[in-house]
Amino acid sequence: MAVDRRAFLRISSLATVGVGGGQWLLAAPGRIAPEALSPRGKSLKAERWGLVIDIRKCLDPDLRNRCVKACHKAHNVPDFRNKDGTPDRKNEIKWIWEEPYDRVFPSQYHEFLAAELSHVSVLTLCNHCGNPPCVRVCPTKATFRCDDGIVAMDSHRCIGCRFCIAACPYGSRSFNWKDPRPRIKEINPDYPTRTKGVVEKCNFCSERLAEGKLPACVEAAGDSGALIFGDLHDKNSKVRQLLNSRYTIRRKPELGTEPAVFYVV
Amino acid sequence: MLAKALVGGRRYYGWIVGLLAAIGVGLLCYLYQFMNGLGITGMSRDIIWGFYIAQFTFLVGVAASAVMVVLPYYLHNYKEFGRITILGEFLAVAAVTMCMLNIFVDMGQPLRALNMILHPSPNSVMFWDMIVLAIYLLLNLVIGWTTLDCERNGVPPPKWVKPLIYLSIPWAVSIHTVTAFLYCGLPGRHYWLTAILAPRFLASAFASGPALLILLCLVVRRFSKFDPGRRAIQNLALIVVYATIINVFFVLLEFFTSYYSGVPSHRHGLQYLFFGYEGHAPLVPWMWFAAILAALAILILLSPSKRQNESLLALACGMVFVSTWIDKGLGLIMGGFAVTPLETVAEYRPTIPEVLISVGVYAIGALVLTLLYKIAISIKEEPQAL
Amino acid sequence: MKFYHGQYILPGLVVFLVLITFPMWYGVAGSKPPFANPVPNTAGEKCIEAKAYMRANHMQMLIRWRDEVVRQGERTYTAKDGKQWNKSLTRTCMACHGQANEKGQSTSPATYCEHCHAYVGVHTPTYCWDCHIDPATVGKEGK
Repeated sequence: MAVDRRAFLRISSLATVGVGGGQWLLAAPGRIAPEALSPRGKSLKAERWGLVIDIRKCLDPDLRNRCVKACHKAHNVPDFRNKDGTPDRKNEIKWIWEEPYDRVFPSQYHEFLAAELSHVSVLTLCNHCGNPPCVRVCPTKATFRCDDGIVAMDSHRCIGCRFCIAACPYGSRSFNWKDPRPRIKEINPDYPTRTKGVVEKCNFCSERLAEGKLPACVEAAGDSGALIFGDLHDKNSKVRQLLNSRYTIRRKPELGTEPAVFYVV
Repeated sequence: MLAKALVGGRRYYGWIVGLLAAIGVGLLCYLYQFMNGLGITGMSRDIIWGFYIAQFTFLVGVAASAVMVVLPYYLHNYKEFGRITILGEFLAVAAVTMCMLNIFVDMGQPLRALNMILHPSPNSVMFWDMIVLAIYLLLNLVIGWTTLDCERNGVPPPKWVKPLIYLSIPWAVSIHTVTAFLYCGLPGRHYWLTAILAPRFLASAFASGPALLILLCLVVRRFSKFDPGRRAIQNLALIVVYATIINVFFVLLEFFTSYYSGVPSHRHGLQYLFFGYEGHAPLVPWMWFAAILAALAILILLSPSKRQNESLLALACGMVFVSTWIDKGLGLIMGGFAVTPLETVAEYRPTIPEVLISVGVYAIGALVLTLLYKIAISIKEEPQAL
Repeated sequence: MKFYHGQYILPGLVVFLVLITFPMWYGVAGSKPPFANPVPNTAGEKCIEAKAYMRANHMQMLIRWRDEVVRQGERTYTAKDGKQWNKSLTRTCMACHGQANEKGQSTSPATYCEHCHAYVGVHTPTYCWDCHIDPATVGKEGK
């Protein structure tokens, strides 16, 4: 049977699309029937996790340092330093760290501020916003908002475009410019590391919450009451009691991000 | 038609080999970056976009400028531009190719690039930017190739090309608007958080793109038997000067709002760029250089006698191109990032591998442009059937 | 029909064929046949599912686990026999497949998973162990 060139091309391209399309459907991962998933017994749950930091209870630099170290150790956050020991501002990765008051609250700072506040260092971290701009701009949904309010990172999916870092108005996110492994002093085997080319940030210790533990920074603050963590939607939680009894501020509230981290001034 | 790109003299092949060498160097540097991470660039925790994204943003403007020849010719029958629409369209193809390559070399995990398609995120402007740029590339390639092929065969283009051409006109505006949306919807970056960013982008696009097109037309006339036409070039020059004036006006508008309102966050970006902020002023000489270039170019291009002197015209077009490259490239990026969300100031300087990778991307764009222009010019040089 | 420029085209074709088949002749020359049975798990414990099932489905299972843990917070896996496990590559799978056995042989993922994965060219270090912890390397800096 004589097939002219045009007809041949038409048939073969349709066949290719058909075979290719079929393969794509068949090869989609995760097509086995899922087994029953039983709920976790002892994990902590909330409708919206929130954190209150009492600035005046964080005046002790050792306490702040303990919080930072606890987080960074638990999550294998690398420590990038220059040869002279100063932080390597180019490559550094930080999930929680301390900054002077005027940098954390630039619009609240004024020259007549109470002396004890104007020189204080404040712990700062991801605010786990209710209206997070980082989630809005992520082109792969690698960063997303969970049902319990945590803004999470899926390091498997991140393509490293850093749009989320551009969108974050707080500077809470870090990018892995290099392989982080050589700079991790002591690897915690219970938590993965990340690799070069992906973004990372505080995750409100969702893996610890799943085991019934409080976030590492909160645990490191111990009985000081400096960091209080709980469910913002639970009227009886410690965070709500604290928010009800003290005046609190948030970082850049005028931007509409609805942060879940509050500061007692 | 592709065979026409393979036929050329010594100069042509010398140019191609030179481009291939530059591409090779860029590729080696990219392998170095791929193995070691983006840390080999000058980017940092605070300046997370740099030279690559600067080139991307600038080149989207150049790509969009094809509309400035297509619109007058196809919508208003301005016959002078008929000879050069193909040059505009092929310039758009080369420019969009470079845009996509700049994005690719900037990604931390480029092998996961398809995640943008596997997990579509209509909430993200970047998702839409990928779509509109890809379609724009296809549009210009299909339109250019088809009309050129028909011209070569002495037949009118098929009917389906017309609606594509009409689509490409608002689409050109859309690619640059969407790219502006990448910046002007970010709540923490106040230099960009302004509605006038998209009009600024369009104005500088319609200045820089046609300026480059004029330079390319002069080069084409010099190295081939095809003359794009004096009147076409002169009309493009008018487009360049009016667009440059509007662009400068928009920048002055930004100065007014930033300084008269007195709001610090509105002011920091411009202040850092043009006057320095808290002792940091690395870009001040660059921005004033760009401003002076733009002013001089306007003076040259507004005067008919100077405009018609093609040496002066070429100089002015080069000045417009460089001025917008500074203002819309690193000027734009640093204005947004240099004063950080914590109101510290961060520094950035591109490293040599970073620049070489960018040069490699430019060389790929130049190669695409060379091959496409060679085909187009060879066909236009042939005596027509009529 | 005359064949023009043959003196360039034919050698060029040969060079092209050599280059394009590089993975085949380079790989074949270097690697051993696969499926030399990797050292089995320690302490006589059973894997979470049967061997045949795991061989066929472990990658789909890991991909599903990845999305369920990271994106939905569902961390508990109920196996076909009703036993419950923590969905964790390092803490569950590598607890058995990632230790040294009685003979002191390392069954670290670098050898256990790589037995097959290296042969098929999907190197687990790149896709897994760049981030997930290989328990056999804990205590040493970096990898």
